[in-house]
Amino acid sequence: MVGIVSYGAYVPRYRLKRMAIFQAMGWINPANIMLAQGEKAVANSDEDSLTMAAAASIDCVEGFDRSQVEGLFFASTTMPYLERQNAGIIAGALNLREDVRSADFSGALKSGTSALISALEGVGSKNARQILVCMADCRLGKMGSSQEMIFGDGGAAFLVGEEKVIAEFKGSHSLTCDFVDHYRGSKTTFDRQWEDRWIRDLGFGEFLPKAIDGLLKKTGVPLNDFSKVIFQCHYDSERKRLAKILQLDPAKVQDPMHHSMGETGTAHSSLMLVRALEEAKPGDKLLVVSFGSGCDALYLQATDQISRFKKRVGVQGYLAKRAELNSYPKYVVFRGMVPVDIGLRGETDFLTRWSLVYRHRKAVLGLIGSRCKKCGTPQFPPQRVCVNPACGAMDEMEDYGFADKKGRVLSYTGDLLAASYDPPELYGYVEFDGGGRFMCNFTDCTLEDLKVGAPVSFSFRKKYYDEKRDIHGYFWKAVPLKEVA
Amino acid sequence: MATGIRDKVAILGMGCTKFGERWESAGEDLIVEAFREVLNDAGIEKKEIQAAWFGTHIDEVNVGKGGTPLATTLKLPYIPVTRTENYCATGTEAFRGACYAVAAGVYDICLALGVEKLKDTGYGGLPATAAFGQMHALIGPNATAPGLFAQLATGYFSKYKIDPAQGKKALAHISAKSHANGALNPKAHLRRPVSEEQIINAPMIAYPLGLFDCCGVSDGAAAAIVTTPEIARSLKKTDPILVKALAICVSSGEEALYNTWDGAHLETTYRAGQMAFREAGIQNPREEISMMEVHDCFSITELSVYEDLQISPRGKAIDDIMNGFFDLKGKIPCQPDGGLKCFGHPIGASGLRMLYEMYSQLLERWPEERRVKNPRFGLTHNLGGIPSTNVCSVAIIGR
Amino acid sequence: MRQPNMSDYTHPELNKRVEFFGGGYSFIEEGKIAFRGKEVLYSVGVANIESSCCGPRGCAFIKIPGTILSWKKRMDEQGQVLSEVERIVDEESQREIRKILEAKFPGFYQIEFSE
Repeated sequence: MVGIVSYGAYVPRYRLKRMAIFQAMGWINPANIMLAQGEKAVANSDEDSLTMAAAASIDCVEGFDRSQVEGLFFASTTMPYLERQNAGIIAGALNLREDVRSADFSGALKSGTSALISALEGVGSKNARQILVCMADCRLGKMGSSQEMIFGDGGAAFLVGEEKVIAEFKGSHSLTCDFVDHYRGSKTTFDRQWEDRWIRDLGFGEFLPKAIDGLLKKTGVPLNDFSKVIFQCHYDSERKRLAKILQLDPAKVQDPMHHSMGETGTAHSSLMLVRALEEAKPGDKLLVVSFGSGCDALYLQATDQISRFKKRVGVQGYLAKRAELNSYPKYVVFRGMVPVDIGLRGETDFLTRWSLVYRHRKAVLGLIGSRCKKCGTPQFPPQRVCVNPACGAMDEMEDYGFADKKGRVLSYTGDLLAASYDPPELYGYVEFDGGGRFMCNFTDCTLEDLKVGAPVSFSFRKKYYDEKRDIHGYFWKAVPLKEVA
Repeated sequence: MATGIRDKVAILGMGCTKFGERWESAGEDLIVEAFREVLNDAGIEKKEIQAAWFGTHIDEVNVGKGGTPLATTLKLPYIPVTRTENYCATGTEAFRGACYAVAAGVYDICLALGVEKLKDTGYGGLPATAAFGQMHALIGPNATAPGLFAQLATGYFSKYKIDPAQGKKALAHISAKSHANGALNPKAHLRRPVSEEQIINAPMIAYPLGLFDCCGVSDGAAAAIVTTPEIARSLKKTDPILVKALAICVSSGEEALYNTWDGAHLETTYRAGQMAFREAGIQNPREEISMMEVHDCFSITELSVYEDLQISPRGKAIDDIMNGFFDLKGKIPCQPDGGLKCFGHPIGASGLRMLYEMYSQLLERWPEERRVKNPRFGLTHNLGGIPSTNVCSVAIIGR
Repeated sequence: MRQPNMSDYTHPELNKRVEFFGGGYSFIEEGKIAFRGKEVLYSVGVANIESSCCGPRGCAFIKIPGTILSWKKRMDEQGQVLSEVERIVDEESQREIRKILEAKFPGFYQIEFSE
């Protein structure tokens, strides 16, 4: 049996009310009032598609042995790099083995499900025992556009395998067609789309039923047998129309979460699937359809194992961890859409030295430090000479992972002098459970959340962006753990 | 068996420029200004200087690297010139090099000069550098000096359960005291007294440190000429000022990486103090030290140093502070010249500026209003780096 | 008998610049807002750091000495006017007052309560 063994999700903490967007930009496009309900999830200034996919992956592999993962596929239409494998960076953050296959899937919003199908087929053909698939998008619409209202940021992940499968893969049907509802060339930042009516009528209206039809014929399952029909479509009116045409029981249509999350592109059908899996009972049949340059339709069935499955933070958990981003200009600055003055000192050139980055890749990407074999002291960054004054052993270290450890705040400050896109800049010393300490940034919190002794966990984030050379640098930050109501 | 530096070296003369925004002066001009005063004070000729130690920290602006800037500016006649650099202890390291050369009997008369020209960056701050190495640039937080030292405050207040209001008052008193002293000093840049209230009312800059804790960027130079006590006496310095201790302590990595440092004190200052007191033969610092110039880049640093130097008991510095123990008319005046708060911090010069103040006080050169009564031992302290990883110097001079 | 959170508050002179090495600050406005049946005193200030080790910066801030117990009743020895205030220490009140002032003074996100 081949299928989904685990799932994970990540929705960024900041939520921007659509009405706040409208209040800022409605003057240029008053019709957007029709879209001004609810809120959308927006990535923090230190997040992008890659970090969100990494976070969803970490949620997914919690409790699993990562050394058994034999492949990593990452899907996104908003990858930070056109060339420097993004999946390779995520593999580094997850500390996967070096001898794994990896791939970036891109070019269409259906690439998330395409990656998932490829993983399922890869495991199914016995060429790999476990493959991790993650997908994320950090979508940008021009200021004042309807896209800006609709788009949201988020990521999902699936561990595909053969053992302890929680949702069996029962078949898929794909359509590939150069239907250009929207596009983005390699040199531009914003999507351009064609007429909404055309996209609805000839796009969603034609392709979704065709894809579903093809899957049903292939698998011989009547549509009514499905407990949940999960399909990606950001036009609420079209969703209603399709449900009617397909004679779908409204209770079986998976909530698209547009008003709590926004439309997250490559990740969206997967995030909806994760949400469905969070509620699925053994035997439930799930139908998932993505849309973008065609469609992928998948048939999955929840197994008995799903009732024994250990809960993830998932969509439910991350949706609940919310904080209001009550400033539209902040959103626009976070996304780099407008020029900001960060002072002359901020213009100091920082050269990324690739030989250095490579040499320190385990520490920087994986938060791997060292533990002294002689006295057992963990230390970060990795050391050659043991830091324990009673030990001092030289070159008797083994790799020691810190990313999955929790920690406590040892000291902190809210620095209003440091250049920051979201002042004050929060950082301080963190002591890891089990030993070791280092100074790092705190993120996804306010100064009020920081107290000496407060518990933290660690999150893979953007560390810097070199605008001159278009280099995204990554490292880990500490996130205070909060009780979720 | 080594016996330390005590009483082996005498200060023949010292000089110090006016510190501050010296727009009209290049680094070379500051060198000359300090040199003229030190030469005059020492009463010797330039050609009698046999070796020099030259302290500068910043490479990116300033006078340049190596010993050549000092030699070519002053036209030193082909003598050895060594550049020293050790963060904020740079000036003290220059002094240390000159003293050790004299104590070793290798040279008779040596010069130590420290200079920093920082006001050419164009944005009022220090050049951003990979000060902690290239790896740090990939993994270290985007931090500022106030932010890094603010953590010493949160750590200290938390450990000793200090009510933040009380803590802030004590920190304000430290700054107010230094500003009052600086107001009396013509060489200081900032000569305006500020009340504790005005300091407490100022906004935060890096919680819990406020605006008045922003260390100032400034230009300046200071110098010393040292020799043996015998030569000093033969040159009519009947009761020369002698070097009693020169201690340097550098973090071992333990504070930053291991689990013992409590984030509430400066380990290097404690150990450098121990080394210095032992070298100078001082048993009870609180009773025997007459005055101090410590590294008040931030008022919390000064507070911690009172305890690290074993003058105030651990956790109790606030009592001494509020009782005026460290005020100009207190038992151990601290920053009698106004300190970094009023002079700013031209990194290579500060250590020597502090010695200049202690030296001048011992010689009773200042007007009554800012004189320390009957000083016996003067202590200087520098701290360069961040609370968990730093270089600390403690020097003691006296008769 | 004075409760621990009560203290005298010296009203600073408005628009008078207080200098320190790298810059200075001044208070530009003083006001009161009604909150839960009491009046909360606030002082609005602007600071600028022109030269510090870590670069220049500016602050727009609001200080909250506390709720007003008696208004400008006395003078101190320097002839400055004093009021008696009670510090606001509970986090919920601080959160709510912060929200009110953030709405009243957009851009002034640095809101500090006397500790």
